[in-house]
Amino acid sequence: MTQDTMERHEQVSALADGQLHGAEFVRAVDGMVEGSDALATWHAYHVLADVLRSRDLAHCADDTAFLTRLKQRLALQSDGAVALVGDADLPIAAEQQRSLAASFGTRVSANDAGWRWKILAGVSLVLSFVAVGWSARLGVEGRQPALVQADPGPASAGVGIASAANAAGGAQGVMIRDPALDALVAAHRQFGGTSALQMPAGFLRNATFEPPAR
Amino acid sequence: MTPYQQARATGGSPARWHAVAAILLSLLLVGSGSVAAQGNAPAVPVEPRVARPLEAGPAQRSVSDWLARMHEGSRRRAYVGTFVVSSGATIASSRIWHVCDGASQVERVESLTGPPRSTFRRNDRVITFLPESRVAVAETRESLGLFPNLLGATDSSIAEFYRATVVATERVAGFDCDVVQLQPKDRLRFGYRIWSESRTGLVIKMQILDIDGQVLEQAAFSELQLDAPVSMEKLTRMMASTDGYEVKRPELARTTALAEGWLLKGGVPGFKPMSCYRRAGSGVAGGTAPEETMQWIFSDGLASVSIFVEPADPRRHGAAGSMRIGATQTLTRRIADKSSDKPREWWLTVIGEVPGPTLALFVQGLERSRPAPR
Repeated sequence: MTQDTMERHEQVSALADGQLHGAEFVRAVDGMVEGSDALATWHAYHVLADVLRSRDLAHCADDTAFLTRLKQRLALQSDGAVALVGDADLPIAAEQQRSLAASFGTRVSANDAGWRWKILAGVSLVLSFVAVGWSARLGVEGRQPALVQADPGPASAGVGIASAANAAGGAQGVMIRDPALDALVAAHRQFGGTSALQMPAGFLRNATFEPPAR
Repeated sequence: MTPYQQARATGGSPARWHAVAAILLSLLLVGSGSVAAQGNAPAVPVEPRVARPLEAGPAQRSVSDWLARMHEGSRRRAYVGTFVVSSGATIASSRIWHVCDGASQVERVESLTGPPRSTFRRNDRVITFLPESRVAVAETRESLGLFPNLLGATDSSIAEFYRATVVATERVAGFDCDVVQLQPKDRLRFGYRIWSESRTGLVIKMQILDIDGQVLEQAAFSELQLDAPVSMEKLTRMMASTDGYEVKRPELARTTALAEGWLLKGGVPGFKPMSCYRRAGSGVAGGTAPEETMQWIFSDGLASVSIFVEPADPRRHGAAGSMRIGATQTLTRRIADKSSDKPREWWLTVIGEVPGPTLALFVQGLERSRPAPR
């Protein structure tokens, strides 16, 4: 190994360790781009470091092969030739495909370039537009009849009695959204808790439950 | 251990017991307040059986017997516990400290849910510390001191409208309890199911039930340490330390509905007017309403209803409506006032732990008794 090669290897090592800055960093990166052996050294140092950390990391793939595939795919996409690429077109060795299928079953990740996901994303988008539009329409048209229901009981002057509880499917615990009403409920609990049960439990109930806004 | 328990544990003679009982009884007759104020009896937990001569068995107790027993149970005890309230879809909890020296009760409620909040009560005086806004709200809650009078004044109406039955004995928070059902006799009020500690009468758990028996709201001690060492001095000191807090006192003026120009025609069975206040407008939260709101409070002894009346403001008061939050129901309505030359509108809000139709009866009965003064 020549002196020059030794220096290059040391440079790659320093680069991998993050020790190079400024002009040295630029020179090292330039060297990596120009010389294929520098790239191989870079890869080897990383594998060494990984193995030193853990044996589980000893498994490594060929970065150059990955880069080649990536470049091919990018070229394909930039030409705008094929947007939808079938799984079979992926330049992954058949054996790798089999092992992937074995480890993930038939699932394909959601960010995969597979056409199924793209179609699904498109359908979801359309559905979400429909859903938003529908609820907005309901909100405009359905609010009046849903919230304001004429109450035949006390209404003598034809005043509508809204029933938010009914609108919420009769569920308990309807949230008060009107701060003025909220304040009156608090006032009722504070000053109107006139009950023989106030002392043993009512006060605790109100102090535990009453909203802090006054 | 209190002197009372100590004597019992060491096996005091019957004669000595009679003397102790006699002294306790006489102290009560003379007025335990003055005794405690002199510092002679710092923490004498008088057993309810001594405090009240009535000693009917659980099955024979009337509504008022049960209420008196529950009241005594909380009044003459020191305890620490965790209190959980479940209303509708919401659950809130707090840590409770309670102590009594025979004359005064001091209580501390530290909220564990939502924004930090500490409420202290000494008899009917209440102060709530809101540490985030550095505000302390001090107020006097007259309803807290009402109990004996309330029981006396509306005794007949409580018994007239509710029936008490012991439905079971159950264990809650580690205590054996009598489960007492206070069943309404009509459909104008809700029912209550109360778990009253068998030995002391203390309320450990309470449910409010709708007219079909469904639970609307419940509150219970999830954990309770009875006769715990709680320092009254420390709680009193904490209650008084308002340094760094802006102390606010809600503006309330006592008034009468008649003076405000309102009357409830016909009334609602069982509900009697208890008090009436004039307070800052319902914009208390926003502080925008310059006009005042009248709060007229009714009670049937167990349930209470507040009628709030304020001048209608189209900017703030939208559609009339009703709402339910756990056992608390609200009903709002705009009412036209044609009694004066210049017609005006009022905004009416009725709130109470009663069924919706009962609130509607209040709305129906409310009338202007004289022309509006303003």
